[in-house]
Amino acid sequence: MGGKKKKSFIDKKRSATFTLVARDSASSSDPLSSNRVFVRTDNHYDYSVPGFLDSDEEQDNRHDESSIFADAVEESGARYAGRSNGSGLPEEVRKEILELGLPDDGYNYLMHLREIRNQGGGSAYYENPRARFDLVPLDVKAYDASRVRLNSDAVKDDEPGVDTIYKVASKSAPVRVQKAIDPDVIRLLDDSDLSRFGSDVEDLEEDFVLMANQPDGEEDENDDVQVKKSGADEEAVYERESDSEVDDVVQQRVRRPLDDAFDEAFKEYLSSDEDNGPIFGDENQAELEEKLKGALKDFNLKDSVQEEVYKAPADSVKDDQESAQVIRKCTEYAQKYLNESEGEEREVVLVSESSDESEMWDCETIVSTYSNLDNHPAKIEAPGNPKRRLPPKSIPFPGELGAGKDVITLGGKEMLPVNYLPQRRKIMEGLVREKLGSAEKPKKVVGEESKEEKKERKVALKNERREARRAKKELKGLYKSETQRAQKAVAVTGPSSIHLM
Amino acid sequence: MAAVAGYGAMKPTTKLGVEEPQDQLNRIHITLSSRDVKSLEKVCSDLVKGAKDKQVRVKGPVRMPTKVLHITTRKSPCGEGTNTWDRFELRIHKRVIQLISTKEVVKKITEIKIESSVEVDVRIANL
Repeated sequence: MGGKKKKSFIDKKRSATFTLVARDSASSSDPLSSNRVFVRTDNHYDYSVPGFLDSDEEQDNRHDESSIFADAVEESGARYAGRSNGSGLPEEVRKEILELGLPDDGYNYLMHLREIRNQGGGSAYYENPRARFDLVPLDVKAYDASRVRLNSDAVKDDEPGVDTIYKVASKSAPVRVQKAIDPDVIRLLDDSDLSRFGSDVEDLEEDFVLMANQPDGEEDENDDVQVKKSGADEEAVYERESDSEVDDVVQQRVRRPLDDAFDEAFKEYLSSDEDNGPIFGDENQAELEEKLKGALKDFNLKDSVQEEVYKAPADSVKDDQESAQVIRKCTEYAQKYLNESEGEEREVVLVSESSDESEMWDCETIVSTYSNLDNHPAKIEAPGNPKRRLPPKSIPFPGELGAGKDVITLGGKEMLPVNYLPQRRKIMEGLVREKLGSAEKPKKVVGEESKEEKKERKVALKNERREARRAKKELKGLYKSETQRAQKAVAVTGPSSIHLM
Repeated sequence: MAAVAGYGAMKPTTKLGVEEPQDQLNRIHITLSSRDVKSLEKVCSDLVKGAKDKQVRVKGPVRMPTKVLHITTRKSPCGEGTNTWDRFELRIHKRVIQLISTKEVVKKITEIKIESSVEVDVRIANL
């Protein structure tokens, strides 16, 4: 630009710039206030515009600690010297940050720190102050067997208290046991009265099937026995009231006759004077030595010595025996076989990688790690003009390429003349120009023609083009049916590059 | 400049004894930019109408030439096929409005509902 710059409407350095941005705080959003507010974006704090923003908004922007600009570095410090020292954090926080060695740039790094509370290995223990471990049920459950009644034949039915488990238990100890069986479950299991399943017809007794199968004469006896047994069954239930009580007194096993017999035998054993066996510290020391020496004579010393080579028990068999030889031969064959297979795999297989076809190297391939077998880089080019492929414009009938005017080239399946329609719009223009009869003006070198002449030329050109278009449209309309027929013929016979419609 | 200064000086000559409520005239330069012409034109016309209602001297809206950002990429995700290209564009329209008035009036004017697609930039300078 040659001229002096005009005085701009607003001097940038002496103005305040505001931008409309989305409202930052969600707390002060009410439906009346707009979603966006004006926020000052420039840094010329010398120029203050107290009236533009709302007064409290401006105050907020300047003094609000949590606003995003609060701890930004301010350019003119003099105005804001009264505020905190430029970091915006309380003093204790700053001290702590400094102690940790973190930079003091107004950012609260303590937010990202985590207290290390426990030293336990690799796992983290998170203390849950509300965890109550006494309410967690134990994994181990023990069942109280103190009340189990035995029904086996070893027990005499008539004696009370004999059919407890203490008769057969070898050892018993008092243990506090939590209730393993839920009282609800017990209640459900112990439906002894079976009132729920009681039938309306209560004429039948419980064992009516058995009774029906037995002959009639024995019915009365069976009834008595069965009644007695059922009575015993009813007594033989678990007593539920005191499940979890501890048996403070360790009940001794009820003594059987066998116990008495054992006691007697033991006493006899202790009090007998017989020589019950070898007793150390006797006078028969010499005899003992001889005995010991002779004891091991039968065993071969060699066999008992541990050798380094592992020997199967079959190996310790004498060599002249057949089995030993067979075993040895087997091991040899196995080893030979193993070694053979190992040896084969150690050969290296060579695979040739070079191929003669694509040995074109370029610097990118050589520099990169790609093999040229797969990498065929080409230069990426912008798309060109698709019309380049057509024959040059000066030839109106492309079929004449390379042939004289008198030669008609034939092509296609039925050998019809090829390219017998013109394909250029300039030809149409040329025809139009002939029709209009306008004389061609002598072509002037560019730069010498004046503006009006240039304009005239361009206008003339436009007119020609317009006329050509109109003529083309006319012709097209006239000969539409002809072109259809021709297209049909060409589709079958001619080369596929011809598009007539 | 002289004309503008004269304008500033001429302002207080109203009725005797009555002062102008606010002397301080400011030059305000509002730039509106958006990708969407319709909303932009709407906001512009609202601003200008508001200003004219309040008898404020307003210049504009001046339409800056729209900037067209082009991105031309191959359509194909691989290299195969005809080399077709996509031509994407992003049009940015910009309008400028200039006002000379007091701050309260300007605040009133700019309190219209502006659509979120329009970006507003305000520059204020003392006269």
